[in-house]
Amino acid sequence: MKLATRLVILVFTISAALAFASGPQSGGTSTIALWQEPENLNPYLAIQTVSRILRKQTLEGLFDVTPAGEYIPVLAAEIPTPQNGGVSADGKTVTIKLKEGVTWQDGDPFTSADVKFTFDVVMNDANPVSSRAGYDLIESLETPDDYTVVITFSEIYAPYLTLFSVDKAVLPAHYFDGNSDVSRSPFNRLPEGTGPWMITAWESGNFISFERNPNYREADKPLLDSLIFKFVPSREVATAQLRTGEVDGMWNLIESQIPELENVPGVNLMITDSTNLEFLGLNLTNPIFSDVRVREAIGLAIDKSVLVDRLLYGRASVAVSPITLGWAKDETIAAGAFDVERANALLDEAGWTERNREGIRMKDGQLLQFDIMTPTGDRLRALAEQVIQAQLREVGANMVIANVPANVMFAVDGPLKRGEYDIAMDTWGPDLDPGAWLQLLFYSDSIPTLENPNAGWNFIRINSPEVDAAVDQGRSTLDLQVRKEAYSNAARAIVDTKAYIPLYTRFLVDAFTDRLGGYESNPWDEFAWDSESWFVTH
Amino acid sequence: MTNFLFRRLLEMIPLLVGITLIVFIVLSSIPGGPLTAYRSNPNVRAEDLARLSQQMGLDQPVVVRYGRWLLRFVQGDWGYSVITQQAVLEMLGQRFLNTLYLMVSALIVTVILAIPLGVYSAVKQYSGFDYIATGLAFMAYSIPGFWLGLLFILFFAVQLRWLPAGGMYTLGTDFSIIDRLRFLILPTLTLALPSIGFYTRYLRAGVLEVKNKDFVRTAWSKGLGENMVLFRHVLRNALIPFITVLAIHVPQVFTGAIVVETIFGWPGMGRLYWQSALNFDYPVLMGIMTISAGLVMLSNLLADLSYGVIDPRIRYD
Repeated sequence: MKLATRLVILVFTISAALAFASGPQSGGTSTIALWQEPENLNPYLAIQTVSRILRKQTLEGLFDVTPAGEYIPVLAAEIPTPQNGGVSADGKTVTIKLKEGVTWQDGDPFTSADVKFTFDVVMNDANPVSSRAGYDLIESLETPDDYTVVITFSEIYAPYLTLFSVDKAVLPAHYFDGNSDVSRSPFNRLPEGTGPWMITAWESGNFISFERNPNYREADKPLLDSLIFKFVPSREVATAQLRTGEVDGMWNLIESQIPELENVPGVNLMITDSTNLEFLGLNLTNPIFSDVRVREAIGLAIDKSVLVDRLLYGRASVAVSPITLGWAKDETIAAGAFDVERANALLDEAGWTERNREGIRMKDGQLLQFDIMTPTGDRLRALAEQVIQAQLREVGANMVIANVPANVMFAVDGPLKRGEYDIAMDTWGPDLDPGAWLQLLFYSDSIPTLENPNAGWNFIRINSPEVDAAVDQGRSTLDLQVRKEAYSNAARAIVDTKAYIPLYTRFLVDAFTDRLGGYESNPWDEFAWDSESWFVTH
Repeated sequence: MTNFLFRRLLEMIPLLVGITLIVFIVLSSIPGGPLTAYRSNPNVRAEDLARLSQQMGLDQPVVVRYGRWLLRFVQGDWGYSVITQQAVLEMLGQRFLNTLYLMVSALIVTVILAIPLGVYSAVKQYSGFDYIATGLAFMAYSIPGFWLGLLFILFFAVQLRWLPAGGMYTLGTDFSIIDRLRFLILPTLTLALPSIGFYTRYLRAGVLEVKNKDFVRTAWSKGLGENMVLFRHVLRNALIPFITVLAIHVPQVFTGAIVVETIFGWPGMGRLYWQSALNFDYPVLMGIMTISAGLVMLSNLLADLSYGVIDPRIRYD
């Protein structure tokens, strides 16, 4: 974490120095490489990260999140809270004041009718909307005047500031003439918004281009005249084009590319904290893991710093809790640190005292042996498995690597859902509001069964009254202090199961050439979230 | 001739239906499905998945889904991508042209270089030229395309900076033929070199075989000139198997383009195919498979027809 902070500061200093030396000039075009292409740019239909990156250039929501993890109003005039009367006493009615004088890129005014229309789009059965979470709790959405929206929920919805916001957006009612069936609309590829950029073209497999929106409410932004996102097939191609200067920036490198690029003159890295948490999940229905001492011993026997230092070039943080960043993080929670002696003692205590000829522990003739599963084809994970395998061997446990393709591992009738695995290795982390994630992964109702494989992703099969109570409490109030405490309790209870072993959180790494300046990292927003402030120097 | 053409085209229909049915069943039985990406999103709940599955028609049995697809297909409606919500025909259109552009360039370069090299090697068998050409041909044929492509990028784009590392044209500029050609050179060469190697060898063997046939000796003894014997009698006969192999090869260039398109960021069908396969985008995959199958059949038909042009003895009854 400290290293990351230092690197981020370094990047800031360099870009600030650059900005000072040449001054942010307006004009010019910049080309950025993305190694993925979005499916479409409708925030309610698309689910890929790269779609969020691109649509946020033009579509805006009511609220967004700052680098510090605080909500700020975007199309809304202020954050509705109980204090300013925006949230009713029972927490079920939220009144949102909208900014006045905002126009869509074609000059039409932005009003509360657009918010109402967006709600209709989400609820229209013709649209394959990815999720209606939260929206289906809306009992009524009233628009008493052009700049006021009153939302009444059937029950308290704690992450109410994410509705029509953050990774979602408000859609223009006039574009669709009020027809809320948008499933086949050209808007999904060429959206028109209120943001700094207007999309001018999308050529599949090739690029998406943006031009500055003359009707954008901030007069001097964006600084660039146009911005092109070029789709390249892989990170390697992106790196090659960054080095030849064909692109000014690229999104999302992996750690092993850092040494290669770090010393290239004219290339700067932007390193951002993330909540992408790599973890081990121990199947609680496995008889070996039914003893908490065995689970704890496995956690203690793994030296996570070896993974971070050797495999990730030090570019990751050792993780000790499921919530590693943001307001819900609790510094006092810590999964036990590396301790071989204690691990051995626990295994002895649990009765795994005999050893076979190879030194593997045994109990009642059964070997202390289990499989680990992760999607095939991920080199980093494959190496991490081998390191962990060797470390567990030190305490007399034999972990066998048994990887399967991702589509098999995560299939509806796959090993995770059916509970037919021993240890699973995966990356998954919470959003700024960790409620939905905690519920999906750790809540007792989210244990998938054969009858209901879509129930959730609690494949570890944690059935803990403490976790359930904490998650329930977190979603039943809008009081942030109470929620923070609830999620601390949830995180602590999850760590206490010893079945969830957090390994490390990865950083997000992007790269830019000297030609481009003005960028800042934001762990809660997407790459290019601040592109309106970007400028080119020559 | 007309009868033959009509019969062949008619035969293609049941074949195409059979292929699409098998492909559809195979695609549907791969574990995963288009909802895979949704499942790992904490905001997509069980009720959302059930709704999406119904909206995409995934809750129907395979046979019903295939029937619906076929019914729409014969009416010219190739359906909509379940991932992008875009019309499949619209998605394929430009991509197909881009791949065709690359494929035809590669094919032209292949034929232009392979025919003279192969013929000359055979005519001057065991000469210095023949040895060098044979050696180079084996090298070209043995180098894997993905490696060759990366080598080209590293050398010509990153080191020398003569040519662009990828893409189809300079973004943000007006159309220019020079610019297009600059972007075309490396992927075309990557695609063409292995086939040049292969066809040089193939044609050399073909010419050598025909060269010693009785009718060639007769031609020589009639006192015909060297060019007359070589082009009229030898090459024409040697070209028949060449064209057969080339016709089988055309669809292969089409699929081989996946690797080259991926390395050079070429916005073609290969990458669309790969992406759609990763996303389980059945409607798009069906579209691409149908086009590929159609291409295989068409190029075989074209090969059969061109035999008649090259060899007048071949009749179609």
